[in-house]
Amino acid sequence: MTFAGVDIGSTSTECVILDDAANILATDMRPTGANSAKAALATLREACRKAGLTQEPERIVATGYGRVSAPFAHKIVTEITCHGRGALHLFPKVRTVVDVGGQDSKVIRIGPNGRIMDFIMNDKCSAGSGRFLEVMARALEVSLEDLGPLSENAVQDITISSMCTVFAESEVISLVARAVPVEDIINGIHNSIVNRLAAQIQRMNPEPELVMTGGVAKNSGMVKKLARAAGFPVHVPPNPRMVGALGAALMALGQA
Amino acid sequence: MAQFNKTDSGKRLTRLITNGYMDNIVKAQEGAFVVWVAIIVPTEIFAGFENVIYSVPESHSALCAGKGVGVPLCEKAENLGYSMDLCSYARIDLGCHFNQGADSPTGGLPKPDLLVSNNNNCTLLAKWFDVYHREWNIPHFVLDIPFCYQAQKTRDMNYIVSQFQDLIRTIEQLSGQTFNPGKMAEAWNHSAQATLHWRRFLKASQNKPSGITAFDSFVQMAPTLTMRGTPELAEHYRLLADEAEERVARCEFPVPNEKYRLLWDNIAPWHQLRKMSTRLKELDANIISATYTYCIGSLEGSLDPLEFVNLSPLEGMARVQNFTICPHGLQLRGQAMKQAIEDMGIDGVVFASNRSCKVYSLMQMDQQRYIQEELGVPTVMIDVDHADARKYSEETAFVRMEALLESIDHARGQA
Amino acid sequence: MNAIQNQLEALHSQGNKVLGCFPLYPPLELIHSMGIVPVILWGFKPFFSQVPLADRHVQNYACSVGRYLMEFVLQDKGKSLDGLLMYNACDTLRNLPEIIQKGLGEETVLPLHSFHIPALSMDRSGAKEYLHDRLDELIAWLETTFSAKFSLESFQHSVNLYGQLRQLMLKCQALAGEGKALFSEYAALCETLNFMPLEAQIPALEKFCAQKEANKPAPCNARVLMSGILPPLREVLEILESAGLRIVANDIASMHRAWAYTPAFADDPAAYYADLYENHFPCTTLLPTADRRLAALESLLENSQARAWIFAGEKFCEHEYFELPYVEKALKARGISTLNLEFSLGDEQNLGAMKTRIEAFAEIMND
Repeated sequence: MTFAGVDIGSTSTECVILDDAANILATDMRPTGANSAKAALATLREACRKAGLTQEPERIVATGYGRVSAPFAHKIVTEITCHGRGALHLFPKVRTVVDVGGQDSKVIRIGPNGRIMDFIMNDKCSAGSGRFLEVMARALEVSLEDLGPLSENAVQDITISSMCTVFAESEVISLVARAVPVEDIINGIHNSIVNRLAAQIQRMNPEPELVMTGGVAKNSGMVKKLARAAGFPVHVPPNPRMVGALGAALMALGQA
Repeated sequence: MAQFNKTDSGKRLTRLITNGYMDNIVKAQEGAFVVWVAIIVPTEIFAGFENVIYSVPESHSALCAGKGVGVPLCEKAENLGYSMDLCSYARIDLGCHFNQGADSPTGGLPKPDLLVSNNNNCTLLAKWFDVYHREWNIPHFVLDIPFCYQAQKTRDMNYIVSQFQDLIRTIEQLSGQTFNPGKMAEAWNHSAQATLHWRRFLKASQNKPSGITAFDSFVQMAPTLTMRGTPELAEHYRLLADEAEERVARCEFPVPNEKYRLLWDNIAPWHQLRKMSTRLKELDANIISATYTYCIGSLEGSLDPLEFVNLSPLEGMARVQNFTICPHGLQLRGQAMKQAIEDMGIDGVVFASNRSCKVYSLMQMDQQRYIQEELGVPTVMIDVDHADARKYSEETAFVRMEALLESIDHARGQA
Repeated sequence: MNAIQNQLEALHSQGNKVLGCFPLYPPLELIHSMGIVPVILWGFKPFFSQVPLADRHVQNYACSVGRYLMEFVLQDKGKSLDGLLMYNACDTLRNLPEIIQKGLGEETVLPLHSFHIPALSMDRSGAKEYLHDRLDELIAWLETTFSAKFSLESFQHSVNLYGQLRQLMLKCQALAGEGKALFSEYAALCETLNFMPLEAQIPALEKFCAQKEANKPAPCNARVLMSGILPPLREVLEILESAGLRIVANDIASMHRAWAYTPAFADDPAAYYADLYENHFPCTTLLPTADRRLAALESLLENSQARAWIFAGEKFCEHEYFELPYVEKALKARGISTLNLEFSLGDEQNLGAMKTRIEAFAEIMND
């Protein structure tokens, strides 16, 4: 028997297929685009094909912002529960999960029994999301992937103080105009996001060791900073974008 | 740029403030009864006691913001769950005192035995002090001061006086000390003296070019909050005013090529004093005065020094609860601004829209229309939080302020 | 014109004198006793998607209660309101009277009175006398402005009717707590009641109770206490309910906080209101009640057996947000799960994120 989890996020959509021993059989990922239902179906089909399935998975759980646009799902579960479950599966000892997604960031607190105890999400206008980084990368004419490596070459430790995206963008532009090196600016942007995240983490009474999930976890500069700001080691799964879908697939397995 | 830290008065100010904070810490350790107050609470009352000292969280927060630690302290409060939308003074204060005085240049304030707030400058102060009241189990005395859209009525004054008397009794009970009305009256006289010198100091802005910048006067307000009722304050302000007058006589001006005389409307932008004044000076612009600094010693829509004919000290203090600006509405404040514009030859008004201070800010849109359309004075509105630098964008603010200077030029061209 | 504007205009054109009262707790009984219909100017969110007139006068960091109030009064221009009554509930509301007068301009004459409720315990010296004085002034203003006359007999009648209203409100809330009615239904009823005369409110509540009483209690395992100034939009309540969360008790200013305490009649309005404000169900805006708040919440939790607390935060409300960390910490320490939701203008554009939070919270509760 196989189980599928589909995470339909604001920027990308992922699918994980598990067997009944929770081994990952296949994964797939693609941009969500304008039609989330289409992306969801396509990623499921492709993951099934990669896994060599001849029949539909036994049970499918959908999660993410577009979770309602997956009519094929047997159940829908929020990305908060799924990220928590997925991260706990990968790092069974860790009790605090930080997920930075396209639209928002969240800190999830897992209890001693492995259950999700509490969570906190950023408010809508504050700079703590992948989208914020995208806006900044655009303002700096740098690709999203290069932000992490570039930030590690920063010389000066500056901070972008504004927390609203619009204000921060104008602040970044004025730094560019003053010929502040791009590396330093990126470093400053990271500082600002990490400060916000560290605040959220602190409010959750974290236990030492964090897991960071979501696309932004691929940004090495950010992860290092987060570890420093939070004062704990930060684990990053090999494929941090896939954790939500993994959690969803685990939910599918658990419910079977 | 603001010369405050180079002048004699600037040096004296630093000494007074530093000593004030240090004295309080020592006296508290030696057993003084410590009161934390909101800025309008009549601290002359405490002078009537042998050993009652007071600290002013708002002023301490402004100091922290001015020293550049406003943002980390705000963040500390936010980490404890205090919303980023709450007043930045309050966030700085909570962030500091729930972390054992963290980051504060003074190491925080000595722990209070009594909290005294009021609700006419703003009600949120009572909510802010209530946090300590609950957390530390310390009595909180709220002064209920009816807001006046017009002049204060006798019944309001009597109601306030009865609360002052209540406050005196409360302190007597809690501290075990006996109140001496004569000493309070003495302090009240010192305050009145200090106020007159303060007004004389502010008058230096009437000169063209102005003898001072609003940035000088912002920092010099601090001892009014922390040393009210002392002869030292009156003496400091006397020297401050003398010095300003002498500088004018010697033709020493902070912005020698002053082309634009501006008026500031809101609390001082503590985290930007130096930066903003320097950059404005480069544009030959000077914010010569502020509605904020004129609140010391004026009443109900007038900038004229207050007079207390036939009023007892407590009655006088009750009247001062209605000083110009925050405890007042659109009409009286507009009236005071009109007078300031005329007296000081103001070319333009900068409305600082301040998310932390709703009482000050929520009325500025109509005030701006009044000044711009009815008085014909160019204005601009910028966003700046008084103590949280994250709610300010220098570039956005300066684009607007430069546009204001251009519209002043334009108006002159037409004249 | 939206439904509420229509409803109020109809009320006015039927010959009623309508007094628009600033939130939250104006002296309703007194106003009613003088033949005037008091309408509390809040709860406009479902009816206005934007506030273009208010946006010309107040910055967007005023709370939505203040901005909707401005919008309503400026659009209304005295068509359905005969006067305005404000009191010292908060800093934002305090600034609005003069701004409204500017906004209305000289052609609209809308009489406005500012009332003051002592923000201290009635035991403090001068408090009762001052309240007495301000009530006398209010009565005189009502008499002149509305050509009305105060009488103790009529005041007693109004006090009795409001006593009935308070009991009915509590009964409706109890029905929602038992699962015989949905909280969203009760909230929808309250939404329209606020803009009706008392004589219509009472039968509407009686009807609601009669309809729901016979219902079988719906089973539920996720019982929730909700705090806030106003209930969230109906859409949000429905998301809560479909996620399996039942609001079994509330500490909402326009609901339980307003109606929970019924003072006895006193043959002097000042004595009646001294009792009402002194012993009012704790509200973050009534400063002297602050010390009683946590105990009141705990007893609500105990009586309703709620095991979760949802804070429906009115963005920019300092009164609410200064108390939030303390309440949240205290409730968490008692094993209560907590969720913070924040509401402001334009919530309808933010329902997706709201839904995620609520559903995740329900998943935690049901895990």
